Amino acid sequence: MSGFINEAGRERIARVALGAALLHLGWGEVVSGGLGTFLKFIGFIPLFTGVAGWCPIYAALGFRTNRQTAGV
Amino acid sequence: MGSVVPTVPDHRALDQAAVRFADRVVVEKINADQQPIRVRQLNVRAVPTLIALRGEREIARLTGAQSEKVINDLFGMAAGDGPPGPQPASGTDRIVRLAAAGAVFTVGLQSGPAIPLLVVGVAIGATALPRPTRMWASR
Repeated sequence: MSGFINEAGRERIARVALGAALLHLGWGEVVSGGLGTFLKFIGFIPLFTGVAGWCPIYAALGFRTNRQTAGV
Repeated sequence: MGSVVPTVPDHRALDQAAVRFADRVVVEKINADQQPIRVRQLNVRAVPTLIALRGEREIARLTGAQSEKVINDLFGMAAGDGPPGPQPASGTDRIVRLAAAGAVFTVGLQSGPAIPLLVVGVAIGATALPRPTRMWASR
């Protein structure tokens, strides 16, 4: 599991907060129109990557922000 | 649920381990004479048998009398102290998931309510719940 996760704990929380904020802007109709609809869906991306602790872009680039413990 | 003879050493060790791991492992004792259908479902061929399940998946089985150390090791493995099987969500995982679930659910409530957000919030929250391993003992 630790090998799968490539985000640091603080980054995960930041992603979740960003996702929740974007969802609030979209679903709460703080932002209306096409941008509001866009935010309704785009907010799920940082939310889910934060919850999973895994970023596909990081994985593609071989990058990680957490410290990986040595495997056996 | 079957009865247990408390003076039998195996059961004393089992009961002690059950108390020690009470917050992480659920123990259900089955009396083979009184619950033959359940015994067949679990494919128990001899008594005593200890079966550790994670969710509905069997991860370990012990048949015959076992030492206290072996029973403790089985409980430790069932509790996620070692392999096999998926490890339970770590502390950080659980905090992030609960925070996400709370945030999404709150946003969902304030936005109408927005049913999709409520559903997503509940689903994320469900992944943060600890899943205790069940341990079956038949005799």
